[in-house]
Amino acid sequence: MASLTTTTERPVWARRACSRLVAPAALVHLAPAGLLLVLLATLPSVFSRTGLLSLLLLASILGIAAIGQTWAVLIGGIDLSIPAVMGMADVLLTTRYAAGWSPTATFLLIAVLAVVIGVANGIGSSVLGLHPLIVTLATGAITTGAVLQATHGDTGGKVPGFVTEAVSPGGRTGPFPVPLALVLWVVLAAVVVLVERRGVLGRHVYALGTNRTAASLALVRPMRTRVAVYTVSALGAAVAGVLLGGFSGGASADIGAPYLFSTITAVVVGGTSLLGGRGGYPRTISGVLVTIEMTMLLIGFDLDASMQQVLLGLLILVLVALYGRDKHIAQRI
Amino acid sequence: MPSTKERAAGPEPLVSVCDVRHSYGSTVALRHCSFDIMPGQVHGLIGENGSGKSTLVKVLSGVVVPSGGNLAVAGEPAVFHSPRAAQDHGVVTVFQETLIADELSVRDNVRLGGDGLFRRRAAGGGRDAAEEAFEALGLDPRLLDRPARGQSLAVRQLVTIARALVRPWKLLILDESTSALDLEARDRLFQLIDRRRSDGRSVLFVSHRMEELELLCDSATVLRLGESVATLAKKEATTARLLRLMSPRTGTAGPADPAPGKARDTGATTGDVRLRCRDVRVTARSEPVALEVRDGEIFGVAGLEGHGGGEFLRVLAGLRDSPTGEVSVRTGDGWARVRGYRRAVGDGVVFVPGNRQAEGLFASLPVVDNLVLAVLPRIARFGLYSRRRAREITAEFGRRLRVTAADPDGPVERLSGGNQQKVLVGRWLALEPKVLVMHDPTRGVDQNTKVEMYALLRGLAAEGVAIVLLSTEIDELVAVCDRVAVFRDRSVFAVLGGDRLGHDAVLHAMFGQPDGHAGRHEGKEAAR
Repeated sequence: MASLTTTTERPVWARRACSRLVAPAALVHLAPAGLLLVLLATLPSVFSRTGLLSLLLLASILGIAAIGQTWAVLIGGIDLSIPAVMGMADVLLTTRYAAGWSPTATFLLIAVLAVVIGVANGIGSSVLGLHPLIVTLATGAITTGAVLQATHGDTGGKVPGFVTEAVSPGGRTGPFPVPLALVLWVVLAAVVVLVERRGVLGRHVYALGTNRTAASLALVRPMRTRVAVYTVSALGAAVAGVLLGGFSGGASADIGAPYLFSTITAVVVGGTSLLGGRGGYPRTISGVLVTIEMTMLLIGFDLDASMQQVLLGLLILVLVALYGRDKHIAQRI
Repeated sequence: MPSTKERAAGPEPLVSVCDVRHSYGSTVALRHCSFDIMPGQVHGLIGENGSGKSTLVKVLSGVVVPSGGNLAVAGEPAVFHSPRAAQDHGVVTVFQETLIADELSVRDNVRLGGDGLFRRRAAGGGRDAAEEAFEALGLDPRLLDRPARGQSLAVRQLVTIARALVRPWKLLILDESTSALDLEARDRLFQLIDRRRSDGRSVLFVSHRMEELELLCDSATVLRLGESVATLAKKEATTARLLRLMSPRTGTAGPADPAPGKARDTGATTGDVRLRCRDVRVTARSEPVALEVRDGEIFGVAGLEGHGGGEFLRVLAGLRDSPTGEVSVRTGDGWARVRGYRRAVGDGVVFVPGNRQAEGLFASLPVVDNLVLAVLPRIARFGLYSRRRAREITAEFGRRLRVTAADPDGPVERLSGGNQQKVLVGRWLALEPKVLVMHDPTRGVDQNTKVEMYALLRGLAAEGVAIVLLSTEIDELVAVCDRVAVFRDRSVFAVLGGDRLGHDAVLHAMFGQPDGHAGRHEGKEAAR
């Protein structure tokens, strides 16, 4: 009944304005196309194979990193350790590969550590009874600290060639002239949406995010579900970190830093409720595209980084006020 | 407002509802709704679930701005755009849901909403008003300084009532606000209402309990499918007539009797013992309970709120530990001790919680999800389930329980209370339980749903399911159950069955008075 107050405290004109909006899910999914038109009109150079693929590659990395953020938010939590895990993945990839490890062994190590972090987040937020905000902030800080300690801030290293190719617009996947990162995003997105829609885990995620007490009584295991969600999140962040390493080619523990803000932006702009239980990854996909397009638009206007942040923040407010609010939250009484 | 001006001479109504209409999207909740609430009167509002009562209450309390029509307060047209506007006109509402902030003290909960953001209401005044309200409601004022968390449902409901009483009200709306109260608290509330109305204040009383309406109301308006079909004065408003007006499908056996005819012969329960309690205690200081429930038996649990019935149910379901003894259930391979909730479910003992909103439903999730959630792991393969199978299960139980849901993919919160309850029961029936433990499944549910629920329980019992039913309505227990355990002071005071099971016997036992030969602990408790 928390919505009782939020609904009624808004003035009448605001309520009327909102009630006139059409199905917001449709709006969410139309927004990327609309913004693309704006982008193409203002920056015609984007309208090229390389331009569009660059946009989609950036979207792939953000999209993969935002998988876990979406689920964490759906269960009423949040994952602030994503940037740290991305940094860890990047540093391990570049330094281990430079040290002569095989890519397979490197990936395995990254995956194992990601699972450890995810499980720690899941158990920590269940057993310790702490808000996931605190738990994931702590695991993230520990991870970043440990990585810095191990590398002494060294930024050297190198990246396997196929990782670089996976994120370059000229890259190929087998016989197809599409970079691997994009294919990976499509495949992962399909799996994520399948689990959301048809998976027991997906139902449990929504149930847990909607009503925790009722979920436990309906045989959902809260801790297992949280562990699963945060593990998925850490693995997604690890994949995104590896791909980001392909872009940069160097080791940097805070390479993922911008992704703290942008994963949350993508989730929220997509219209997934921070209160949990409403939304989902299809919305996040649109949120990711909107986020990347807005960033490109602002870069195209030649604004410096700080001004970009200001405008990005304003745009998010406008967009979320327009459609991010689920219509029936406004009507819930 | 022409309609109010044209009205014949006589006292001016305190609040008039003039042709109020409202739709949620394409769902029409109120069509034409008109009636007057006269000063100093208690006005009843009845109708089945889904008839628009809740929407009307929301309109009157400013939560919903109607799509059409208007209200008039003392002859002046008014539209309430917010609960604050309603309150400024002296309309104060106690909602069906017990809205309590667990983290605050009871006193702060009573004051909730009366404070400004920066300004606390004059501390001394607030204190006295809260204490006064508590005393009037028969609650211990010392309770005010306790945290709200952990208070019983009845106390929570009384707190929401006290919260309304401490405000300056002219019209008090009680929306199913007595459903969790025991008789004593309810009667105190009724006396209080009786006193306050003498100074021209009115009450709009929404209830599913005919006897309460009869007891309290001077007049009553009947809603049917979003229309006000009639407003009757006390002498015209017989139960039979009200029910006829409410229900488009009356004509069959009148649901006036909560359960028409006692369809079960209590002697006929000859199934094997399914559930066994030995030396079970609700709390460390309770008397031990020894009970057996057989297959096909409906076993009732009665008692005033806070006397241990609810806790006993949770012990049976494995949600609460008994300090001594054990609960066992007969499974395919012998007796299994109930230890922990999940294992109990695995052994066939399921629990339908009493607080639908807090412990049962996933309000914003689809009806299908709400229904299949518990059974999901059983129908899934490799962690994935078939949507078609989920829909089939929903359709099957929807049919069996007669759920009226336009759209199984729509959120369950759009259903009426009765249908929500059916969905919740369906979730547990889908697990094909051997023992069904239910906490007041007919609370806040309309008459027809109640009758359907009784038929369902009988059907399940006939199939051999052992049912433990806690109810706050004595008539319901007497009509439906084979035996009834009456709790008093967190112990079983009496187990009544056969000829000894009657309304008066249960009532007397609840108040600690052995009824003839019914009492087991005769003389132990003096009358209150």
